[in-house]
Amino acid sequence: MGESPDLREAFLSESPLFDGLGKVEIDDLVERAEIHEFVAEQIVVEESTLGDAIFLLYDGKLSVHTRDREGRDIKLATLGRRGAFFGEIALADPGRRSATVRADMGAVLLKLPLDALNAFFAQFPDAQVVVLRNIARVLAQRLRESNALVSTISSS
Amino acid sequence: MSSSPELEMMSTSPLMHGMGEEELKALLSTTERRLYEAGERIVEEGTPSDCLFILADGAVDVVKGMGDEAVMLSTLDESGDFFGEMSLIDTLPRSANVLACGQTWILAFPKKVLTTVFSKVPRVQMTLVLNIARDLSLRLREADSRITALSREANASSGGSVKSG
Repeated sequence: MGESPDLREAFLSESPLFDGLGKVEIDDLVERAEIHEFVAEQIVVEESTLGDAIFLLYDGKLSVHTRDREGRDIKLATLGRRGAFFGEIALADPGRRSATVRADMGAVLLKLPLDALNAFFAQFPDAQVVVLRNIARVLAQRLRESNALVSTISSS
Repeated sequence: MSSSPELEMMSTSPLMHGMGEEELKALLSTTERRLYEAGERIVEEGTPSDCLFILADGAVDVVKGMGDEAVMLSTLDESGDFFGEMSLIDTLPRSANVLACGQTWILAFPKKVLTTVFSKVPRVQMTLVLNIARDLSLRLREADSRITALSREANASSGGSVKSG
């Protein structure tokens, strides 16, 4: 992602995660964000490890995997849209990663470590409830979709 | 915590985790107590949402669709269980019906009134939103493992390969 902070700023300010934050806050977040590049097949986060960061996809394609009881790989989803994010649950519910995320091809991600986010919230206390609400909104949206899918599969 | 059984019940609700007694009292002062009979609809799918609910006594079914098309999503039967919390987060219509299983007492928290509590005690909002996000992430994991299980069943019964879409 070109080394331009402007690009990162535009990128973060368009993310639904940071909807409602002001320019000063976004600028501060940009300073705290790390850029990570991954090559094809490289693991971004691994299931069952501690979730300690939020990732946003800037470029490339990722897939989300888990294993069934027999240990077979199950592909849950593909992430390819710029701005797609994962790991946000860690902010509300610190715990183990529920799935493995792997790069399908070269990918560039923006990483916001929880430590960095907590430092950010310490500096901008009002931002915390805004970001948590955004996360809850995204989770609610996903839950609506998942419940609709449960209902479709069950009644078909 | 001394005082009313309602306060006691509220303090054990996962929705109120981390809330202090003063904060619980502030919230309790905004609540409407409602009694529903078996089969009565508490929340109607597709309608605008304006309240958050805590189950005080009884049990409710969360059901998507009605009649022959109905699919049961879950049953809540522990006092302190909550529903309708998505209304605090987004402004979309209700995503499911909620029906009383038997005679059921509900505490209803109108969104409008909650907003005034939030402006007076900002920490209440933070705590509620955090608890809601935590609950949503839990339910999302449950829903997703149900999808995985259902897909496997469907796949096994059709004997074919997994269909996408």
